[in-house]
Amino acid sequence: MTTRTRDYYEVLGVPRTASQEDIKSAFRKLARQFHPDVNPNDPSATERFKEINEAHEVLGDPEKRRVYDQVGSDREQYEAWRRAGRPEGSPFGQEGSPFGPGGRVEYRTVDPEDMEDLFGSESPFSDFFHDLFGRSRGAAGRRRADVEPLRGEDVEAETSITLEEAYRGTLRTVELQTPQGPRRVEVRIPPGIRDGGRVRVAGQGMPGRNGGEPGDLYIRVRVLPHASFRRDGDDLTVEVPVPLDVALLGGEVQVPTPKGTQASLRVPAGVQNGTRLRLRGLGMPRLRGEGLGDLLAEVDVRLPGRLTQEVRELAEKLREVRSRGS
Amino acid sequence: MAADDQVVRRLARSSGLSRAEVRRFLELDVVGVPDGRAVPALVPRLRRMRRLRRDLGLSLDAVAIILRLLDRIEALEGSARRRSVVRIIDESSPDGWL
Repeated sequence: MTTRTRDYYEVLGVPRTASQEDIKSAFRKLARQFHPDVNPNDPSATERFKEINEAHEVLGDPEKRRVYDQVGSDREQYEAWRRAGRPEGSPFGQEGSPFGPGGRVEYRTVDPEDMEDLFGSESPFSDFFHDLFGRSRGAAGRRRADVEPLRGEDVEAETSITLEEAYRGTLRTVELQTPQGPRRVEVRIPPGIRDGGRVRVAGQGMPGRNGGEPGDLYIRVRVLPHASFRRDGDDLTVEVPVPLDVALLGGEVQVPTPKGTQASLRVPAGVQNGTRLRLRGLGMPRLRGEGLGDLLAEVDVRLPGRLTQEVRELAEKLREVRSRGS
Repeated sequence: MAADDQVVRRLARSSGLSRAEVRRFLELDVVGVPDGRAVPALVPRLRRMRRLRRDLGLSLDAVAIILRLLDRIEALEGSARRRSVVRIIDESSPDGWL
């Protein structure tokens, strides 16, 4: 409750001769700008709307407007009464208000449920309003928001990890700013997580209110691109240099694995450039399920770097054989 | 699933809207009735729609448009708020764990 004592006509921007239709129209115009339903999470709009709502409740109800026009607009008398510490009796002289500070006000333009939705459990009306028209049973009575358990809000953060971390799994420490102060949580990112995957840590979000459950903490994971490995689901592809002779005659090459080790790969004779050879179970761990994906070694045939006399003679021999069509 | 008369009547009574208004909002798909049930969680949303209609003097279709836009704004603000209270302290952990 506040002590605001602005003139209600001034709040709505209408003259004292305004018709009920003018008052309704002025209220709607201001409501479109300041109504809490169209300005969620904006305390300044809500405060402004309390004034507008109060002015509308008085001027929009012919009976309250009549009383306000007769006695309530004598603000000097009211302020003097308030400054004197609210002595017994009416602040509005002998005529007083037919409602009065001890009376019960009936709202005409808003209902108590709407007021609680918009303004919470405290009365949105000023002391002046209550001194003039009394109080409602509902205004101070129902405190739904104060007693209903409310679940805490979910929170989320984003982190980037390397492919190696995605392979092994990793940890991140997260700091949350809660109403009770900062709180640190260690989050385990499981092996095999994919780019864009979310890790949920149940109950580690914002605390609940009135005994409500806490929210959850989510970590969205970005897996950084790797210089050597390309990922497709749980499979990885890596380019493997294969010397020309091994490509022609077959042989064995070493293939790097995401674990950081080398695996031996048997290359069949006559393999073509770009062929993918599968190494089963050497890819990424499967996030849901057993085992690992595959590692695909993409053959990158390498020609001899320097053409020695011996290599030249062999190449010319090869061309001769090819031109004979054998 | 279409809401039956009893569900519409119950929602109208709890929210202060007329049955025709509740039906129209259901048609416009700004409020869904899961499994055709009048769940209590829908009532605050319907009451908000009633206030927008009464206090701002809006048509049912205008209320529906505003509700959709407000839903989007609230989702964006909620996402920003959820992110603003959390930070990762140790961004790099090259060795990971096994």
